[in-house]
Amino acid sequence: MARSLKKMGLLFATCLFPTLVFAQVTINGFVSAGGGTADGDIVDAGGNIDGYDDDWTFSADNILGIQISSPLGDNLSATGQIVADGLTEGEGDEKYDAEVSWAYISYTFNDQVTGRVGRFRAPLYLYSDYLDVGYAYHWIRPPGEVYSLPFSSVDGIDVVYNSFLGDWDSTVQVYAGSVDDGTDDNEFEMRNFVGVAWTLGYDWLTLRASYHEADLTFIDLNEQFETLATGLDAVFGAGAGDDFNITEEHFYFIEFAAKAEVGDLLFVSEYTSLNADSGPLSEESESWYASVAYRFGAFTPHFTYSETNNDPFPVTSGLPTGVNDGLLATANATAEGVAANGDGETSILGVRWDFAPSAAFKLEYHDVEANEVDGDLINFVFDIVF
Amino acid sequence: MTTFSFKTIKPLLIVLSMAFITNLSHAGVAIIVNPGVGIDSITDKDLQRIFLGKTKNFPNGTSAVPVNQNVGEAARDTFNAKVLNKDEAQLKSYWSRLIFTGKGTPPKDEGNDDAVKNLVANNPNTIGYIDSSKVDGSVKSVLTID
Repeated sequence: MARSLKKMGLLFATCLFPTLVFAQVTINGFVSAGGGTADGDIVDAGGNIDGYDDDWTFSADNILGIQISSPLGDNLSATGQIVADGLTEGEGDEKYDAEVSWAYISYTFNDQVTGRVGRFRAPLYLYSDYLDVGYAYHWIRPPGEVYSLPFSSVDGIDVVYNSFLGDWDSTVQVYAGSVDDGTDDNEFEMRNFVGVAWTLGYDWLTLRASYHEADLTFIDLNEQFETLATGLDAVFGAGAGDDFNITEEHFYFIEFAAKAEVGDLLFVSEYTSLNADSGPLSEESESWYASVAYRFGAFTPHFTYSETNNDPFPVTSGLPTGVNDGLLATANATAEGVAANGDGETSILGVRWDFAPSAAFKLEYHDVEANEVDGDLINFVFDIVF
Repeated sequence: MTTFSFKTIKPLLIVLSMAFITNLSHAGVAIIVNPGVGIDSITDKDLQRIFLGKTKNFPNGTSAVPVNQNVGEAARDTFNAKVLNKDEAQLKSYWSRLIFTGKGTPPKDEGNDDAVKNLVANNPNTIGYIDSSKVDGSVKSVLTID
């Protein structure tokens, strides 16, 4: 297996750069495989928790990632990462359709400054860069209440500036790009997508802050709300239904994180806030988690609490009552429904067992409340890097 | 309660002094560089930055190529514990974060004390660590960790 992958990498390199056949092509990979079963009102109502229903299923956490990187000369290098997972929307075989999560060419200006062009991870969260690499963190996956934005990669350019501030390591990443993503029935596009992330590290402590903004267009959602929007326009005048048409609307996103690793104790917490200038998506969606883990040799038990709260957008503010109150009520209920749909809280109790070099087994219990409906999940996974 | 006679304590003392002597033969781990690097000393912080991929240069600006010993070698365990403050599993996890973001690759594993000494002696810009009893004139020792 490893051999054929190596061949594939060489083949890849040979096609692209015939003169550099014997340049060092590095191939790394990761695999996660596991299963789970959910219980409670959420699944009784036909829903699922992180892709699991009331039967034991074994696909939602399955991930294969292959990364190929090659130096292209003194300061230039190319990196590609292809990820296939069992959670991707689709029927049957489509589930494991591979997606390119990284594909960039980077140029190292000096020891401190690197620039990249291509497709890379949007640095939205503390764990964004290695979101799919379960081996790199203690959970099966980072808390879904916070890690909830429906995209993870951006097509664009960035500059990463590394420096030392006394005993602190500083990394500033500035990027600009665009995103076309979503599922078959909920496509969206983001333009003028820019952001900056600053990470400070001091031995046992890591601090991070980031800001991102974009103009967002929902393609399928706009069609869903079209009747309501046209109705509002017809009754209250043109423009009254604009909140139900998200076309090039300005959104911004703020994130803070702190991680402390003192001896065998790990504490990590992250806060995010997503803000919209127009509805019906929440006016503000606030999320946070706090997690504590302690290593006893190869075993790391951990506990995490996370929650997310959404404020409904005031879609009818400025519209007069007494004209068509039924329509106003429908508009408000729709906006409240959209906001409530995102509300939730989860407690995770789990253990990570590093049973072999480069391999970990994880077992977790999730107690979930989503939109005031309860459920729980038992989940396990094997994470391997090679 | 039994009272300790000199007779029962004596073997204990012998065992203790033997342990002490064994310790002396493992005097510590020496950080060694190729003599061409042109530095005389280095700090733990510099070592962390070089061996964790946070810089590609020595403090004097010369390019740095760190090399590890193989997993299981005593000097590697000492270096990881005393300088990097991480065990093998933590390091594996740390490097997986950098590898899969294209931000770096770990220093190569180049064998035992003798193999690393030979490699550092013969390759400019290299830095490694070996049992301090093995240090000789072919390399320059810039720090000793007990």
